[in-house]
Amino acid sequence: MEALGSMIGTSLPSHTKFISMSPNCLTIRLASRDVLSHCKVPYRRQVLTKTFSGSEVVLQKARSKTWGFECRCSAQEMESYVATDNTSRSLTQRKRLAVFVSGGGSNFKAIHEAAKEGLVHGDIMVLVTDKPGCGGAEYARENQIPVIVFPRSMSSPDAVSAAELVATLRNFEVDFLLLAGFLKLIPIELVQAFPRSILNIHPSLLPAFGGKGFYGLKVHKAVIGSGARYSGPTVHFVDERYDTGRIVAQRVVPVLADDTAEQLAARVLHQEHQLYVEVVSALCEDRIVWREDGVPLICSRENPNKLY
Amino acid sequence: MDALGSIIGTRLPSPTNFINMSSRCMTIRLASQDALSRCSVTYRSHILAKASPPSKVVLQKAGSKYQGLGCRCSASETVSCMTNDHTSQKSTQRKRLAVFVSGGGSNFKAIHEATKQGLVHGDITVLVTDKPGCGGAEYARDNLIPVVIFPGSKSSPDGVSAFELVATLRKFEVDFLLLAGYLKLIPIELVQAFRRSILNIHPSLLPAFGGKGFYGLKVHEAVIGSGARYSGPTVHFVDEQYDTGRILAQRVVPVLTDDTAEQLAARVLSQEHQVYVEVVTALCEDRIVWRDDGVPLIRSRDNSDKLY
Repeated sequence: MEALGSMIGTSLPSHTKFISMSPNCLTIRLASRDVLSHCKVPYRRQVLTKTFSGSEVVLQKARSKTWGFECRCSAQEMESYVATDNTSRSLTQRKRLAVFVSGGGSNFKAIHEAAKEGLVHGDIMVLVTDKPGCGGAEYARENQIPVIVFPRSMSSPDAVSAAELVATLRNFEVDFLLLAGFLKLIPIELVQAFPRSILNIHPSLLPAFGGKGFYGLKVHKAVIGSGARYSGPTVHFVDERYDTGRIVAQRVVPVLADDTAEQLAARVLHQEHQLYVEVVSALCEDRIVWREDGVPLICSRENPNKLY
Repeated sequence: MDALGSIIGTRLPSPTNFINMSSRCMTIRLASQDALSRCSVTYRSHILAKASPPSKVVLQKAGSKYQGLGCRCSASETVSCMTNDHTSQKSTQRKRLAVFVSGGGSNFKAIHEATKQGLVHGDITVLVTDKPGCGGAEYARDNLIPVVIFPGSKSSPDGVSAFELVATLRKFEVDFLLLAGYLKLIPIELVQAFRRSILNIHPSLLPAFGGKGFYGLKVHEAVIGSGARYSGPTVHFVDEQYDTGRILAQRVVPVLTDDTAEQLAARVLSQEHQVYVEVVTALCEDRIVWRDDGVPLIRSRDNSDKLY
């Protein structure tokens, strides 16, 4: 199955029976539906699965321009689901998310609620925190989301190591990591294990007022003290340093002449929640595309040709 | 006349004939109208001259609260021009501006045109450039604005020294220095001589994409490459380093996913002209106020309580 898997660029789970193959279409029988839902895909070509009650499923390469997928159920030969609209979501697998927080977790809550309401086609499988007593961790426990403590410190001697964290996230089959007010540096093992899969939100218009030491109210104080007239949240992919990965979305808020840091923070926070939910929504619907220069763009849900 | 001049705090040009003097009012006869218009004034009490066709003009100390002048024409004994509103601008002395350019000078031209149209209550009295052949310098010569070369170099051996530049600007009685695409570092002598009087415009939302090496198209290429979704011009006061003085005004423009650096540059440039003219207008009408933390604010022309 590995040879076949590499031919179509999908890693096929074991206990898969080969049935037939044509240049564009491969029919296989799986041991269980669950297994297939965890197939990884190479970036660029998404291969999406449709599972039926019959355990025979056909995987077909989607053309790179369409935003849906083409598949045929070998039982009924239906050529359906050339889904250029993204609304038939019930048949697309929900993404598995891990959220990292150090504090109150307001962005975490916003995303969690959006997932419950069906705005976000994904589920938060696990929370990672360096502060087991923080608001985010409490909310996670109240909502039956497992909590992992990372990294180790004097106050958290039982925390996991970086290698253990990677292994655990892999076990949970996490697709994306969402940092939402996590104050520790993401270790290189994690960045390498999850390329183009870690997002962070920062409360300023990066690259302004970013980097080491710029967190919480300190950001807003610096914005005000500089005389900047605009600020706003930035969502970006994470690389090995603080706040320097490619930007995927931003919003602008005005800075008023009589603003306190708290007032500016509240104005920005309001936009943070909207923005992060919108980006995670796009992420879970595979609407992030990568420009040639490495900048991630979001494909509009209504009009797949519109990028922003 | 020097003694008399120093009593009222005005340098009187020669030849001036003394006619009479009371405790508050002095009548003199001038050789020509032009001469009086160049009287420089002590800071705080503005003594503004009104020249009327008879060459007798009365100079009177303006009360420090008024922004206009009190003057009486000895010929008609009219007590006019007690202007405490800002709209009778022709009675307030026009500010004297120096502009620094290295290139085409589009911001320089925008400000120059605004002065000609009466939008800006000031005059560009001198242009400083390191490139005597640049577009800005040509435009200056076409418009009878004297050109000073600074700094000197192998290609510009006629350049003045920093010390000479300060002396020259003082002689021209320049009130404000406007940097508009000037690529050399402003020497410390100049910054110290013209405290809170030097402005610069930069084509990004400082502090993002600012500092050494960030000029021209390089700025816009960096903005696009980072994935930033917003950019725009920043006007700020100048201190001894590049692009780090307090921000006075900004505008926001969107960055589109298919923007080239040239397209973004054009969109930002259009906002540059608007914001620089607006700021220079406020500067020449003494509408810049300083917040306690050192951030400069602009007082609105319509409503004196509104700051932005």
